[in-house]
Amino acid sequence: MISQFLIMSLRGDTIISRDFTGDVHKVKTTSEVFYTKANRWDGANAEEEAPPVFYVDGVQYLYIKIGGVYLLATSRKNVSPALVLEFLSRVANIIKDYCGVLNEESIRQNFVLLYELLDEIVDYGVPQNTATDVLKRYILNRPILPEQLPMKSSNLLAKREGKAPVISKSVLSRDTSGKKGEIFVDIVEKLSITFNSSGYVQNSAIDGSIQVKSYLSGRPLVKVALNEDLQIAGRNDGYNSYGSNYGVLLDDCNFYEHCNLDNFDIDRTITLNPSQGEFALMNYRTTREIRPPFRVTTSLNDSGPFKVELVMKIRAEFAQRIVAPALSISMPVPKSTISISFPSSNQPGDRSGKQAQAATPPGTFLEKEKKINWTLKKVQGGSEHIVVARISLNSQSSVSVKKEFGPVSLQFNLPLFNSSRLQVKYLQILNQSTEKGQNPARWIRYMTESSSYICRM
Amino acid sequence: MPRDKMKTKGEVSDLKAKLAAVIKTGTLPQPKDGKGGSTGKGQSHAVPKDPQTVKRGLFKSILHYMTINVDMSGLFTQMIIASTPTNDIVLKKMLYLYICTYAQQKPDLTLLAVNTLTKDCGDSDPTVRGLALRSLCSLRVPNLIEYLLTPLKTALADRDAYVRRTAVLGVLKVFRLDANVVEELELEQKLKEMFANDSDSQVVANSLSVLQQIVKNPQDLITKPVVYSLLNRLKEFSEWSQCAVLEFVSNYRPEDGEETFDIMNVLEDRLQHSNSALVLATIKVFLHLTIAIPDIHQQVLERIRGPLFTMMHNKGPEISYTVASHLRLLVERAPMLFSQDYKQFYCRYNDSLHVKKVKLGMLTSVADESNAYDIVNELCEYATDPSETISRESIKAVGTIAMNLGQTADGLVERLLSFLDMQMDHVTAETYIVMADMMRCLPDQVEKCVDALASMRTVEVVNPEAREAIVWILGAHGDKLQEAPYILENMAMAFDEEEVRVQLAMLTAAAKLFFKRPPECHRLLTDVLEKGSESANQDVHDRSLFYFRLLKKDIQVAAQVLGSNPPTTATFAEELGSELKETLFKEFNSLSPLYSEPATNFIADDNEIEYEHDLYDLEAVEGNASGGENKGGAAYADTNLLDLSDDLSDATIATTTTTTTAASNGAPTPEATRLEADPMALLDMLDVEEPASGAGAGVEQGIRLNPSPFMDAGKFQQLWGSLGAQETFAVSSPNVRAKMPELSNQMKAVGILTMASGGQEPMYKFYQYAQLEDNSAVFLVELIANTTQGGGMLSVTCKSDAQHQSCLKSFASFFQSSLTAYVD
Repeated sequence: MISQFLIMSLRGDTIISRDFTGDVHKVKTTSEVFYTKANRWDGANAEEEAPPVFYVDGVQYLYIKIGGVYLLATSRKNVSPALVLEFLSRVANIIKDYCGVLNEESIRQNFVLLYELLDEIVDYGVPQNTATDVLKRYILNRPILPEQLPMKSSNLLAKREGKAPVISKSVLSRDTSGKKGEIFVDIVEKLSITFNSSGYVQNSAIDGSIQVKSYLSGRPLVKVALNEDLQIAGRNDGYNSYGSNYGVLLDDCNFYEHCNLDNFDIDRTITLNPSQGEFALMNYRTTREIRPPFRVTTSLNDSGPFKVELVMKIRAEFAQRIVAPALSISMPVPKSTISISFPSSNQPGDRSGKQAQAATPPGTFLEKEKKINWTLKKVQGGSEHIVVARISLNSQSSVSVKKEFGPVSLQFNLPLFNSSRLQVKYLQILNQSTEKGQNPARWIRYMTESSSYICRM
Repeated sequence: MPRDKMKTKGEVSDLKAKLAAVIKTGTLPQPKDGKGGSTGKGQSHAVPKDPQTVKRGLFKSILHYMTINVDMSGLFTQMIIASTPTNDIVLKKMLYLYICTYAQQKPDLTLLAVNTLTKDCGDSDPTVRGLALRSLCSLRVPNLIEYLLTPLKTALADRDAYVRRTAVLGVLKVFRLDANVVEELELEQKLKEMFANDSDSQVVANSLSVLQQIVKNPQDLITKPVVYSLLNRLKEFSEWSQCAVLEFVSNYRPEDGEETFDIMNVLEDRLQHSNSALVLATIKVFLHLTIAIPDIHQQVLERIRGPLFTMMHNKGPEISYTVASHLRLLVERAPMLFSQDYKQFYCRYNDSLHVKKVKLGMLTSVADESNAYDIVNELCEYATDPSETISRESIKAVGTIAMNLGQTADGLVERLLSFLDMQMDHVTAETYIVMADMMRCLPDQVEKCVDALASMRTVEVVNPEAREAIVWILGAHGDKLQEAPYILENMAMAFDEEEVRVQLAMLTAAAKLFFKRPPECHRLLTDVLEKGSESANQDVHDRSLFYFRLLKKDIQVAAQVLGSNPPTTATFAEELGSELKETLFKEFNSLSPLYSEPATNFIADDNEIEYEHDLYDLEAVEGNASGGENKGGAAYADTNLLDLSDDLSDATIATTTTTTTAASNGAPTPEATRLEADPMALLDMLDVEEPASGAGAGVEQGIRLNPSPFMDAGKFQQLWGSLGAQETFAVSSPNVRAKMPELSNQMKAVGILTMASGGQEPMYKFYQYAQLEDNSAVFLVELIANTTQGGGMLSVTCKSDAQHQSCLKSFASFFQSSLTAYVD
């Protein structure tokens, strides 16, 4: 299926390479051809990047870009691209599981371990064993892990900052804390909303995923319970009570290979024996109406024949206890923009009046891309922010010039926030010894991220 | 690490010295930390004492250099000595990786390692046995095959599944080196047994993928019991193996409807799997099983929408692109089914450019009267997208939707024209291009479009394609536009600075408009004809002279030829043919839907793939395919076929235009002419020379060939795959090399024409065709010329359909004698 596998840096260096079948040119040629194509896909059009799958001289190149590196596979066959790309993502996950993180440095540090892993994962281009904990049986090298704070304190620190801690721990690490391991269940939702120019939600979707990171040894039985009022469109389970319109309604969902759904249609519980490492237990999608966490209103006013003033108001419409660590706002401006000044705006303070907001930091004008960026730090629920920009143009301001403004796009992540109201009600680890102090730690965390959060003007 | 590359030579000898020291004393030489620290990273402070750690460190450095392409083959002997005998598996693994990398460079030295490897194949630890066997089979040194056969046979019957899995793939590795050995040892039979009976699912899966590549006719593997037993234990397989099994099952044709439903019931829950590859593989099975039962097929399409939409957004951009491309294929097949889901295809801010493009295509396809308003509104938002590509594609999409909807397009045309007000160069340019197309399709809308141009005084857009479009509009509809001659006159002043395509358009436009508004255009026409006839470009020159002579010869005829109104077209030649769509559908869940090309375009046949050798670069020799100038452009004759077909279809269109004008002498019904254009006539016009002594060729062999058979590249490709009867022969002669350049022409003389050819020393390839005089049978030929083997060898495969088996025989012998006569 796969002829060669390579890991390359974004600068074009080959970090790891294996040739399985020898039916393609030399690895060196592969990396050169690939790098040229990946960087200069269409000579005439600089913005075009290479598609994830392309061919040159009868050799198929399939790659993913992740953690600042390329994972690349080549083939001579008319392979299933989904299969190869899913496989590459799986390899990326295995690297993460074993090396703690996936980046150029961790791969360079652990290349012998990775060769050892690759040897087991794929033989002669055919995927073999890709389950993280089964692989452990055959792996003898130890990982070199990134320097990191001890787990516990980093978690506490992260909590205080309202950020989900990044777990960079190898499945090969021996836990010294005396605990029997731990398991993280993250409900991550990616939010796509488009507001029309009047501020109404025109289109919205949530792409959610229940991500599990397990460091439990011996694959104990784990039971995960979701909301009982969860309804899934088109699922013939007799569970859906279409009469009641409340509850969480999903358009569609899919599940991890090794989970038992026998009770899912009865009480919305899923049981599984999780393999160590990271995987998505369930992915789901809903286009049901949602309450958007941020609302934006903008106004554009001529302040002279060549000047336009932009005032943008951002309201955080979520509970006060929730804080977005960072909210970045970006907006294209007309090609005829010469300069932009950012007058310090008088902050009206948040609506609750409890504390005055810190002054909004000025935006930055990215001249080459003709874009304005603002980054607001620690945006608390219920607060309101105003940003102002004075834009100087080198042509008369007109209706058509104003059309070039926008759309405004927001990027943020909101820990503890959950748009769909899908919840993990409880997480049980069954059939394990009941020795005291031996209970594995269980973490359930919620996170909402912006995917495509667009306000048109 | 660029630093590492700088000091390679020194490092190699340094490592060599260290290895030697370790072999002798078990430790590193003098400078333990200090200078020596640079090679073994992270261990400089704790100087390792025991030989095992020292060796591991050294081996690791060597592998590191190997990975960054520093040649470490010089250390081969030392590596082997340093690591034998050892029980350290970590060291063994590193050694075997090293050996497999350099075995082909150092086949003699590899022999030293074979002993260790074969011994390890009998180790008590299955992990070691598997490791050794895997490495032994991966050496790729043909001379060493004899050493690995016994361990391989033993391993196929190993107690441990891990070893058997490795052994099964080992068979394929051996097969690639020497297919005969596999036959002699009856390994195929052994694999078939394992495929049917092995208790380990990975062994079964590996056997399946190996068998599919080594048996002569993989189709024979698909039997009802096999399919059933695989499906019954499907969930034991890993998700990757499940994909392979489903791909295999998708070729199975159930006996009746009930069987179809049974299979679908078993697979139903695979649709809610999180692995997109598995879901797509399942969908393929469903679609192919139900293709003959339309109502069920429709239900399947409805059922799979949800999972596909979920996967389009839930994964990374790469999977997203793959899923979207497959969705596009289904949307194009059944746009009605997806017309409610159009919002799923709206572009997201963070979609990759390629995903956006695919989505724009789908939005265009699903647009109908119920949703066109919403869709076009959305598309209008994309027109200001920072990406020029997206902006232009969106405008094109608006135009295409307007053309598809035809009568109800009123509002849409206005939306399109409003793009002209945005005053953004690329938006304006694209709008003109779309307008010209639209005026050809929708005569009702011409008025509106012309009105939009009414205020135009000069042509400001720079894009040549857009300038061409404007000139075309001015020429074709200048009678309705007051300013038209003056705008053209303005442009004509800088005639020489325009691109060829614009110049050609201007010649035509000036001539057309002349008949509509003679007094105003007389000067314009003389001006451009004069400038054009002085052009260095052949086309511009010729067209100017042609117009000039036509006008001079008979003004009445010229009026009929040039002055007629442009024909209305319903579709454009660029749209995907239904045949291609069908092929893409058959190749669902492969690369074809991503490229929108059939696999024959980009995948070489198995027998064309050479293992371990750089592939010969084929160059287009004939047919003026684009690969002609660009060596890297077309590595395969197959690719040439495509290029050629493009050329052909372009040429067809061009010729058709000429035919149209020529035919408009009588009652000008251009649409009819366009459709009726006789392919034979077209071919004649394409300069396909009559064979010198074509008629009656091959009489002596009892077959009569048509001197000018008809065939196009697309049909050739399709027939090549489907024709049943086949004859092969070979002709060898020392003169092959010298005779190569004239081969096509010589064969043409006997009635065998060349569709495409290409190649480079020592391999050339020709695709040829011929037809019986009564047109009843078509013969396709693949001729591979090898100019090295014993002076030269021509291997020929002829194909025809099964009814003409006997004709094929006489054709083949005729061809063989013609070839022999020529090359001897």
